[in-house]
Amino acid sequence: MDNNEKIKLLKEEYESKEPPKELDFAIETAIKRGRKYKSNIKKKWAGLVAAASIIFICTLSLSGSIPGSSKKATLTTNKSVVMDVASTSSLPVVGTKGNLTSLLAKVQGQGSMQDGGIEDSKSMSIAPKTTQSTNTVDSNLNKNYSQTNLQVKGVDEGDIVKTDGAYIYELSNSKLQIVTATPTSMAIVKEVKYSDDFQPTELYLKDNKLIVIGTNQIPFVNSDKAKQNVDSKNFPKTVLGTKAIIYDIEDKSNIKNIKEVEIGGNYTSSRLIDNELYMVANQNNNFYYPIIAKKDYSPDNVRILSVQPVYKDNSKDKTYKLLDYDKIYYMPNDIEANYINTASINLNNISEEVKISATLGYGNNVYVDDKNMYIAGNSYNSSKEGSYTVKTKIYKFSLGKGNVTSVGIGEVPGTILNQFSMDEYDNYFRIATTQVTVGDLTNNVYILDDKLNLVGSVTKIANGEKIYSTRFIGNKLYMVTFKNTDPLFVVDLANVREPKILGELKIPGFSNYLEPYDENHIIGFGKDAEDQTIISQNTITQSSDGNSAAGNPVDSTISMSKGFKMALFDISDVTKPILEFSVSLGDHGTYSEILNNHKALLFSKEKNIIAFPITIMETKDNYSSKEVFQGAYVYSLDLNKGFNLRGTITHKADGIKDYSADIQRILYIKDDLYTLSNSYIKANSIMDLTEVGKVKIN
Amino acid sequence: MDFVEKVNLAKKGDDNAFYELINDRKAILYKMAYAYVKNKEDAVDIVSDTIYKSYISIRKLTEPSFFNSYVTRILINTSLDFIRKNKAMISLEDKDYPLLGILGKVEEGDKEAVLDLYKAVDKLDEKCKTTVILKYFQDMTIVQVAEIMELPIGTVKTYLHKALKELRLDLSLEANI
Repeated sequence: MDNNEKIKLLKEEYESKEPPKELDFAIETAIKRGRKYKSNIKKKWAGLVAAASIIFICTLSLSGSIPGSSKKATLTTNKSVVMDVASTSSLPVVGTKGNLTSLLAKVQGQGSMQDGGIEDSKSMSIAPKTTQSTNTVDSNLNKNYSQTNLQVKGVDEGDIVKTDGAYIYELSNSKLQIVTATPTSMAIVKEVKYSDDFQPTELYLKDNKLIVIGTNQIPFVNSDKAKQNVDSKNFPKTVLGTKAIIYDIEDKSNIKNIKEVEIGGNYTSSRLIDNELYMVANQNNNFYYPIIAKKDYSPDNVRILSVQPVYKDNSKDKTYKLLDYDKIYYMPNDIEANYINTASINLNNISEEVKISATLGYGNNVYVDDKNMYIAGNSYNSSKEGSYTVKTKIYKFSLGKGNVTSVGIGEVPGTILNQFSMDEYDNYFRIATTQVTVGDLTNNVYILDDKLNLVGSVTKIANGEKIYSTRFIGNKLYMVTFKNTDPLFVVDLANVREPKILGELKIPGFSNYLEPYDENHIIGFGKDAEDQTIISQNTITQSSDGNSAAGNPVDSTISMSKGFKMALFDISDVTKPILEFSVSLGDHGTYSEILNNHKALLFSKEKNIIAFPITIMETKDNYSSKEVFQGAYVYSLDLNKGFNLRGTITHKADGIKDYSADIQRILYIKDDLYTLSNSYIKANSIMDLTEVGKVKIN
Repeated sequence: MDFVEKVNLAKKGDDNAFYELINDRKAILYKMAYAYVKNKEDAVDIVSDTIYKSYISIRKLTEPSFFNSYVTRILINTSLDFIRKNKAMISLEDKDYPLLGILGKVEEGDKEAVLDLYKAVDKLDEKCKTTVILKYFQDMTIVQVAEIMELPIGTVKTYLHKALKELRLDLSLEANI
């Protein structure tokens, strides 16, 4: 069968998806919704399928002497790792528009970015850092209310709800609302509606300041628009931007907008460390337009406009500004037609102008600790021989007093899952990737030094599987890979230069998120799975070097995910991890936001609460399922007896399908649990989960 | 009533005109959304959100003849936004894999290759996937794809090249512009 036939078949499959009857209803509803003009966009992330797993435990201990070790680095299998690090001072800037154009010319119309090969690694002029304080003091410890579930303690992440114990601040239906946390008499004391152009997505709370971050439309600004002989009516009127609004909330009923900061580009992520707020956005930096009056779109008739990073700080200037070319950094050998823009806002001194940094590059996963920011993105490399690989580029930025300094770039084979695929500890950066090679999948863990040079790795872990979750905790890595029912591996990375696998445990299902419970236990949240045989045939697969790997039976099963699963692992003996307890909920299609957003979990060891939002589906016949519950499941955990369901909370009236009443978050303040949907905030007593009060918020 | 007239009426707030415009496009919109998320419920939700967004911002549409591109662009962005928010689940696998209709039309020996290609399209990054959907499933020209994606033609070609390489397809398909 040739490629055209294959594509034709796929197209047929694509065409065969006829709209279901409910689409007509959905269209009418959408128009009605639009008519009401309420930004009541609510999506239902239900019914995502995935399949079964291995948990690996890797110890990443740095106990041995590392620098200058005479031992050979175990770089046997991956010569392709590129190390290209420049010092802070020598990292080049774009400088001029002409230079930008010539840099970008390299990526224009080219098949793919060429692998730059190994540059001379320049030594970085970064002073050796002290031990990374991953285990900083838990600022939440003595507070009698919950905080957003974070990856790195002390590094706050934005979410749709925040509390200070007295008020609940939340974003729902594109509105900001401030609600009194008085369980029996909750009331909305302030509501802020936004125009259609601004879509608020996350909140931060710091003392008497509240920060709303969202995406907005900003005017298309181009410094030399007039000079281009192009049809300006084809210019976009607006482009995507990222905006932070800072409110003084001293008086809750009369909050004051004291500063607005905007940067160009799609909102990627943000963090709050002490009083410094960091925002990251990815801005596409070239646009293509035909010259006026020419209908022919041949290359001679087009103009490419390379725009500069755009930003605005309304406390300084009412207009949008373009960042000078001599402030745009780039990595030699690594040019992307995109900027990673960052904005740092000092919340202690609102009148201080926002600090902007821009680097030519692209990254969509962000890891931040108290000293550095790592932004990872995919890169595509094709070699002269025609082989083709996907790698992860890691842009490193140092953070200090609000300055985001582009430090260098590293690259490792494979792609990462999310922010939890990355971690920094004791000045070493660790990253876990899934690598797709011809006809196969495999997984790797790499350890890089502070200059992003590779010092150690474990490669080819769990061939044929991919990573479903990872969690670095101090010297250990817990990693779940999955395809079918498979083992839990323990990898010993005790020496950063010679990590190795210690043991494994087979468990059905998989975990999408791992929460550390204590030093000997982790809790996994994921799905149960079972295998279904679909195609049973043995063929010969071609391996990447062209040799046929005879005798490798082709996997003939597909894992079908079943319900939601929560499991407690005892990892006190790293060579023998044990599945101690597990709870399964619902059938195929059952979904919880924790599976792809750690912020949806409420976990407090002190209060002994594990609570999460969940949509429970029950299978009626083979392939259709029905929602039977949406709301919060609240558990306690006894290490000897396992999980105990304390109760459930829902915002739904019986039998009414209303997504806006889907519970999204659970928090606690003093003696009450608060659940949030787009319709209500409800308070239930922690003691026995009886409803104490509620307030309608929409 | 011709298309441009309808769009102009819709812009003025004529809900019937807007409904008719959308009704003509609904199958195309649904199929595209399905290609991204691979399940009925989410595809319906994405189409619904797309229509909502198109409705509330239609006044920003300056050139009526671009209505379909405008809606398609919103659909792509809505779909990608959905996928990004669900990025932890790397694969948005089709519940119906075992039931893939096309497999019935394929000889036993080719089934695996077709299934692999089907899965490989799912694994493409968002821009490559969008390019493949528009180019090969919707039969658009590169120029049309570039217009929808608001990208330079060269960039679109780059994504297409990347996609075909990643799908391990004969690059001669590229010439088919």
